[in-house]
Amino acid sequence: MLILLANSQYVTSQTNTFQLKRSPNINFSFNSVNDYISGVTFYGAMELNITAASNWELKVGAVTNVIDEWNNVVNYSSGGVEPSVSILELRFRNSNNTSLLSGFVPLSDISAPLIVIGDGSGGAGDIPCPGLGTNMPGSYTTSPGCYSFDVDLRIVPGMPATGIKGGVYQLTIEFLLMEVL
Amino acid sequence: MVFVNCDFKFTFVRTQIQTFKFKIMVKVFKGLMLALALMMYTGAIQAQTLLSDEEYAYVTMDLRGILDLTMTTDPQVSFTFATIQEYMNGITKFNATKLEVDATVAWDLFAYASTDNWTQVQAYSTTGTNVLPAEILEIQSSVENTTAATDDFDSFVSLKGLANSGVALGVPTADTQFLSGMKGLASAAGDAEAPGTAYGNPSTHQFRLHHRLKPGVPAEFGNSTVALGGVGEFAMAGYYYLEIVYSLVEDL
Repeated sequence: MLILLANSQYVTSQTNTFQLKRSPNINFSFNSVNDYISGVTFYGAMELNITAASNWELKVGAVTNVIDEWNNVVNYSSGGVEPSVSILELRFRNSNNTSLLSGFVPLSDISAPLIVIGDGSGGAGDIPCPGLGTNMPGSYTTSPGCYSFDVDLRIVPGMPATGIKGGVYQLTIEFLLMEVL
Repeated sequence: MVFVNCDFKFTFVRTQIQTFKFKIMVKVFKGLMLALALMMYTGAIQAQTLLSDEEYAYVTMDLRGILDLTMTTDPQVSFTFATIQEYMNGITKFNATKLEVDATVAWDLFAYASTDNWTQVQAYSTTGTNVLPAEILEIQSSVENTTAATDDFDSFVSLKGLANSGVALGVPTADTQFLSGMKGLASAAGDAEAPGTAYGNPSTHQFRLHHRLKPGVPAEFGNSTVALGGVGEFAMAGYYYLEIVYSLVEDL
């Protein structure tokens, strides 16, 4: 009986969780003019698997030392301007297209995150699977089309007249799953 | 009686055991309640702390500065002077060299001869000098250098030899002839051409270079900024070559 109680309590407490599958380290390399113009895209760079016991929201944003700026590791040149985090674009896909973000969307700082699911304030109401913005309890194991997301990453530097300062840059993408009370 | 006594003793013992069991049950019950309370408390804490979950991905971006200089024409430009008219009027090779620049950073483009003089491969006569300065070759660019560069190719001008160009170990100076840009950082007192592709910026990133040699008679190359030697010196008939260096660099 003690064991049953403990298990029951544990399930109740573990409300919403998710897992990041595949490599969390993504390396973009731009070695040619074509790379700059056409950009580099990693399809299915990550997979987010969600298990929710209550309504939920999903947000994403960049974590850097300076808001909206990549962390510069190495400089290759003295000219040009350092890139903004918005140069990195994300796209969330699943078979039911439940993400509220359509197509590739520029990344923003975690202080003003992108809202993948929900309205950012917990007032989205109940949206069952497979609706756009599905946010009700469920699991990727039984409904992968609503609770699992493939995340594509893309960077298209282009050839801005100001030039981009060559170098190695880093940032962290934070995916935030929140329970809606 | 003995039996009764025995039964009494047994009953007494059983009663003691039951009492002992009851005490144990009370302790177990207390333990259960304590454990339950602890689990509920722990669960409450977990329920509060697991309101959100985070995952992190780490992205690295390696932005290499790209400078691509492409010569779309035959790199060998040949001049043959076989008539007096050709000596007198010279020979001009329009669009002899076409250059295209693709760059992701601000850039400068300059040109110079890799030697001070032409290299004689074969002599056709014994008179005249075989020391022909690089400057006898004149070059004009189709693209005007809009910077304040001291030397450019906006009109037919003598191509500077290595020493006169001031280029040392590939690094230009204010004396270097610039097709585009100039010595000095654009962010300081200098200037440079903006990043871009040749395809997208044909008026600034595509160069057509006209080459001209005008020996004259005698072959003194009067347009050259460097004389052939002494007064009345003329070029020895022969076969010569000169190597021209076109250098694309990030804004210097």
